[in-house]
Amino acid sequence: MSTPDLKLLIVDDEPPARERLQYLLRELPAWRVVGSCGTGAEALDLVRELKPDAVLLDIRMPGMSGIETARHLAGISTPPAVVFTTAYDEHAMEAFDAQAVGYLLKPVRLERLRQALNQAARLSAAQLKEIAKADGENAPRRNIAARVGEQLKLIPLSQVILFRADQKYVSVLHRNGVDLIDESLKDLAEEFAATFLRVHRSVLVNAAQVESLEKDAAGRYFLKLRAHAETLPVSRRQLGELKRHLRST
Amino acid sequence: MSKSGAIKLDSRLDSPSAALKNQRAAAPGGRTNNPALEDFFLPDFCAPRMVLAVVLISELLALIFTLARPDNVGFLTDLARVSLFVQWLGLTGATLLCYTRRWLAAQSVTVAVLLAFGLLLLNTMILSEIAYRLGTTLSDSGINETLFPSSRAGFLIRNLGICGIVSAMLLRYFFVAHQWRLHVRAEARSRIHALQARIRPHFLFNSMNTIASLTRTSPKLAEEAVEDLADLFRVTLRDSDKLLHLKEELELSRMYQRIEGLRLGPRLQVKWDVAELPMRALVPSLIVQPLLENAIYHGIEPLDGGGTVEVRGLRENGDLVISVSNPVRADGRRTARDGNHLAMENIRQRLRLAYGERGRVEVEETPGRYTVTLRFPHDE
Repeated sequence: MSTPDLKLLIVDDEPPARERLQYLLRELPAWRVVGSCGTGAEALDLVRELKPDAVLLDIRMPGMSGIETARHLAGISTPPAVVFTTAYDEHAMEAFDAQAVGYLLKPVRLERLRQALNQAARLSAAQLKEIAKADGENAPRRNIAARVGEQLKLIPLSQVILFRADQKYVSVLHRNGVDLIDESLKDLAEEFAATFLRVHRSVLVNAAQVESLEKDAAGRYFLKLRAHAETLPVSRRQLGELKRHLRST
Repeated sequence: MSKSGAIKLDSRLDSPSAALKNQRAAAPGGRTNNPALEDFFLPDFCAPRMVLAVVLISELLALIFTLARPDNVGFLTDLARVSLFVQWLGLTGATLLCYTRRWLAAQSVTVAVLLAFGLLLLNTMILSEIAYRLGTTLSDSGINETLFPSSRAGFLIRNLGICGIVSAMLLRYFFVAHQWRLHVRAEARSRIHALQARIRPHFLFNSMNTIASLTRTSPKLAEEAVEDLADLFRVTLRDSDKLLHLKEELELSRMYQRIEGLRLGPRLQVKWDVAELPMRALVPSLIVQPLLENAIYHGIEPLDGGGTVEVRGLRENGDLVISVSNPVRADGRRTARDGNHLAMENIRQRLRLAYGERGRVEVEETPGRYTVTLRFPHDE
C-alpha cells in the first residue's frame, strides 16, 4: 500500500451493514472512512464533496439502485473506484464476474474486503451498462445524468419529455429545460423501450407525455404532447408501432 | 404508470438473463438456442440419432408387413422390396419433418400435429404414385412384375391407411414422451422453487450480516436475533404439511418482523390488527409469514422512507380472513424478482389442499397499495 491515506465512502441503506463495514475498516489503516450514507442520491453529493478514492456501494437500495448510482458516478470527471456489496443478487454477481468488477458478499470478510479495496478500479460506463442489462431488476435507470460544467445534474426519468439526437449530441428536453447528455439515442431507446416511444429517427418521446396523434390535411401524422407545445412529426416507419401503443393505453 | 406498462417492463427485463441461460445451456452440445424449438414436441429428425431411429423403425415395419403377408415371391425378396419402399417413405418423411420443424414449432400444438400428419400422408401419397408408375414402366420393360403393385387405387389406399395409423401412433408417442419430459423437468424445478419460496436467500444473508454487525455493537440483540432466526428456520425446514396454532404462526411472523426491523430500522412499521382471530385455530404452517416477507421485500424495501405493513384478521361467515397489505412505490414499478409469485402460489396450493374450494388467496391492487387476503373456513 503506497499511499497511506486513501479516502473511502460507504453507501448502504441498512445501518447495521454500514456499521459493520466501518468496524472492519478499522483493521485496514490504509483506508480512512470519510463518510457514509443510505441512498444513491446522497452518495452522488458526497462523492462530489469529499472526493473519495473508492466507494463501497450496496446494490439493493431504495430509490436509486447501487448499479444506477455507479452509472452516474462513471459520468463525473474523476470518478472514484467502486466495489459493490450485496447479500445475494444472482444475476448481478454473474455480470460482475463477467465484467471483472469487484464485489463483496455480505457478511463481508475482512480478508476479502482488503483484497477488493486493493484491486478496486474505476468502472467504465460500458462495463456498468452490461451489468445493468444482466441484472434485470436494475436495467432501466430512473434518472438521466447530465454534466453541467463540473456538476452532475440528475433528471428523474418521469420529468423527461423527450430525447432528441442532434448532429453530435443527444439533448434531453425535460420539465425544467434542456440539457445535453453523452449517450446515444439507440442505447436510450433500448434501455427505456418500456416507457419511451420512437417517433422518428432522431426523437424518442416519453409515452406518458403523449397527448394525441393527429393527422393534417396532407395526410401527415403529428404527435401532440402534454407538457410541451411543439408538435412532433411522425415518420412513416414508426407510425404502426405508435398507433399500436396508443390503442393499448 | 399503467399496469400494462409494468407487465411490458417485466417481460423485457426477464429476457436478457433468459437469453444468457439459453446460450449457456446450448453451448456444450452445440444445439440450437431457440427456446421454442427446444420445447417442441417433435424431435429434431436431422439429428444422426433420430435418422438411425427412423431407419430402424422403418425396417421393423417392413418386417411386420412381410411377415403378415402370404408368401408369393419368397420371404427375402418380399422383405427387400417392402424395405426399400418403407425406408424410402420413412427417410423422406423424416426429411420433411426436419425441414419444416422450425415452421411447425411456431404453430399451436394441434395445428402442428395436423400439419405434420398431413405432410406425412401427402408424402406417402406422392411416393406411392411414383412407385406405381415406376412399376408399370419397369414391368413393361420385362422386369418381374410381381415385384410391383398391380392395383393403383388399392395400393394408394392401403399405403395411406398404414401411413395414417403409423404416423398417428408415432406423433402420439412423441407428444406423450415430450409431456413426460416436461413433467419431470417441471417437478425438479418446482422442488427447488418450493424450497426457495420458503427460504429467500436475501433474507438469510442479510440477517447474517445484521447479526455479524450486532455481535460487536449489541451482543444481546444479536443473541435474540439468532434465537428468532433459529425458530423461524426450524419451522421453515420441517414438513410443510404440519398444522400450527394460529398463535404460533403469528408469533413466527413477529419474529420475522423483529429480524427485519433490526436491519431496516424505523423504515419498517407493522400494524397488527388480529385480536378478533381465534388463536387456537389450527392452520397450515407458514401462510402469514411469507406474505409479510413479500410485503417487506417488495413494498417496504424499495421505498425511500419505508412504510407501514398492515396485517388484519377477522371472521366472516365462519371463515377466517387474514390480509397483509403494503404500500407500493408511486411510479408503480414493481420489482420483477423470482419468488414473488412462488410464495403466494405455494400458499394457495396448501390452502386448497387443506380446505378445498373454501381455502382461497386473493390479490388486490389499488393505486399505492397491494393487498393479499387469505380466506379459509374455521370450525369452532
